Amino acid sequence: MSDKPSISEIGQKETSCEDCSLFNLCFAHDISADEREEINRVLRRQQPVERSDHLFHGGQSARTVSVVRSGSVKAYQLSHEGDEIVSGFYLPGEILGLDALSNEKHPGFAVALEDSRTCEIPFKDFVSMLQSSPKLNQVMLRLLSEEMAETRELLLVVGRLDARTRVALFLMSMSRRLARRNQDPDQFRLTMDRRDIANYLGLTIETVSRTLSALQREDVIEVRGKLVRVLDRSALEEMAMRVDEGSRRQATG
Amino acid sequence: MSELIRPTFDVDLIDRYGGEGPRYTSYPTAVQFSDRFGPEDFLTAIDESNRLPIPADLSLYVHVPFCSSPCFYCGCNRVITRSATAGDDFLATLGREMDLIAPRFDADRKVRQLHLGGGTPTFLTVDQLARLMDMLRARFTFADDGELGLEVDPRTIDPSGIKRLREIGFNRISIGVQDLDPAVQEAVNRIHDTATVSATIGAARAVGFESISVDLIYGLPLQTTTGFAQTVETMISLKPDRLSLFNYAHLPHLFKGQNRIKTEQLPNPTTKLAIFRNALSRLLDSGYEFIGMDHFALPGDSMVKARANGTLVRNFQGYSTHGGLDLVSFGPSAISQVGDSFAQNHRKLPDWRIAIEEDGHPATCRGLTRTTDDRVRAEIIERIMCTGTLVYADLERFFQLSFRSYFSGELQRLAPLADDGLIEWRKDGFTVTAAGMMFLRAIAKVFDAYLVPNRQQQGRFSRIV
Repeated sequence: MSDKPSISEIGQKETSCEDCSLFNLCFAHDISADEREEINRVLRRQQPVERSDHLFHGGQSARTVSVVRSGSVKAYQLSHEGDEIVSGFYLPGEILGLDALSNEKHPGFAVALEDSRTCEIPFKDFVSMLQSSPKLNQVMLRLLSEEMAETRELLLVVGRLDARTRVALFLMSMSRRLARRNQDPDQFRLTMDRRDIANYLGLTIETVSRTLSALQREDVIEVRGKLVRVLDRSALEEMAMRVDEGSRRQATG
Repeated sequence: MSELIRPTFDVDLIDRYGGEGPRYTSYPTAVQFSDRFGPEDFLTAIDESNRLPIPADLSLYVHVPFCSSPCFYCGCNRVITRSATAGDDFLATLGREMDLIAPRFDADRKVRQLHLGGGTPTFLTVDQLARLMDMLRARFTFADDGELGLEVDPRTIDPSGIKRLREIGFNRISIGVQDLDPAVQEAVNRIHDTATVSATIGAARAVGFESISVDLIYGLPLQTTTGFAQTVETMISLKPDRLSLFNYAHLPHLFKGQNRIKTEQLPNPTTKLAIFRNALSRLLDSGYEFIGMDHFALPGDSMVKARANGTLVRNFQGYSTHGGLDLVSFGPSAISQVGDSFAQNHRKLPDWRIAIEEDGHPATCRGLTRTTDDRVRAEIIERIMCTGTLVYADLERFFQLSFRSYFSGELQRLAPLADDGLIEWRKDGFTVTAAGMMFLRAIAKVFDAYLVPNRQQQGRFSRIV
């Protein structure tokens, strides 16, 4: 992780969470003002992470809980054979490192997909706050529950659904999450490699690209470089709808 | 499908807009390539291109640099030789060059296009060309319906050779004719009779080549209006599917071989214009459609369809019907385009060979990676050159900019062209008119950010008309 003084300076101008453009999305919005003040005291804002740099490694003792401020992050585990297994992608406002709460070690890895920034809460401070702050506890329970639901959906996706549905679900998930960030839900950049998408969805890279090409031929989406444009939202939604309504509710938010 | 525009011919406009201009086979043009771009950058560009959600399929180009005798007009990168071992030596190095590059591409990226240019591809024997095809097929996956083409010098191949080219997989052919007038042929050192050309085209058609293409050049020494008119009539009677009518650019300070052309034998500007005008009107009257710049095609040809439905693109070979491909090129001076990067190989055969054989890396010696600004302008220029229509909203959506403010200077500089009737404003863009069709490069040039500030590039580009 590199320290660019210029970027740190920008970060310092933003002195409280209330000033942050992502405030409404961030867990910090839902906790009490006192709790927020306590976090503000220890928070390291807008720490730069260069593309391909790790936020943390699997097995490492947890030093921080991080919220993506800008850019995007990939989370993955390593199999016994040493192969990467992609477990998720994190967009601005989303929190990483909660899975270290049980034994203070990161079970997996987190790597920046592009030049990004994160807001970091020292792990020790976060844990001690959890013991004394009921509102924070409540919010964290909700976030953990959401993550659990997402993980279950992923298991379902990888285990049972055809390629088309998997890809449609993935695109809809990206689109919905971006919409929540007040970004255009019908035009977004896929910052991850197609290998990562394939890995995440349990498909081969050929199948991911073939499926995207097919959707493009059918005028459902348009793909140029990393940019995806949704042309027929209802068609895409319908493809993703094949999943059990119950497991989708969480992702719809 | 819309009707294609028939260009009009106006001497006064030619006077004003027929000056020098890049051919925009790429944007930025090769003039902008920097030697800071090297082999590692090229390999990185390939790796990056594999990461995209839908990696582009491939178009391959092989530059065969040899000719057994020099055509004096030629501005291409070539080696004049009659060496019997040149071909085999070249193929050996080419194989190693492919080994350095081909494995970097993910295997699901299919080859949709192949083109052999030169020099003279048919300097290689058909057996050698068959070997070249085997080498490529062993390293790349070819699409079943790929367009596999090559340039053919009618002096180097007979009808049985043409048949064998088809058998080894080629299905597109481009025949260099230039001029059929014996006096002109002698003046440019390229002599072949009309019967040979006719036999080559006939053989190509008989064995099932599609989109048979012929190159002609106007402005060559000793050309006359009647002489070239005869060449054009003969070509019209032979009905090639595509015909290119190139403007000879006499730039001996850039292309040494052109020093052997006697300046006093060159047709004067008035004659040259008359030659062009006659050829243009005869081709159009005989049913050829104007594609753009110097390209014509018969109505049934795929290029006419591509022009009409807006899928025509521009690449280093000129106009092409297949866009969205990464171009991977082999051989000296060859230019690749992968994603937003251009990579050009060493121009000289020995330098190319040393890089590959001794240094063991791709022979890239210069290139560049496009900025976002380059990409927007490239898109605009390609649309002008290929569809003749620009709709601002299309670009605004993808590049997230406001066209009118980003290009306010360019729009101002387009105003006189609109006043002269080269383009017509529309509600949210502009269209090239029949009068403007002759000056696509002059219109495109307005959006070329590298041409505006200095005038030092005079004499680097050929005249537009």
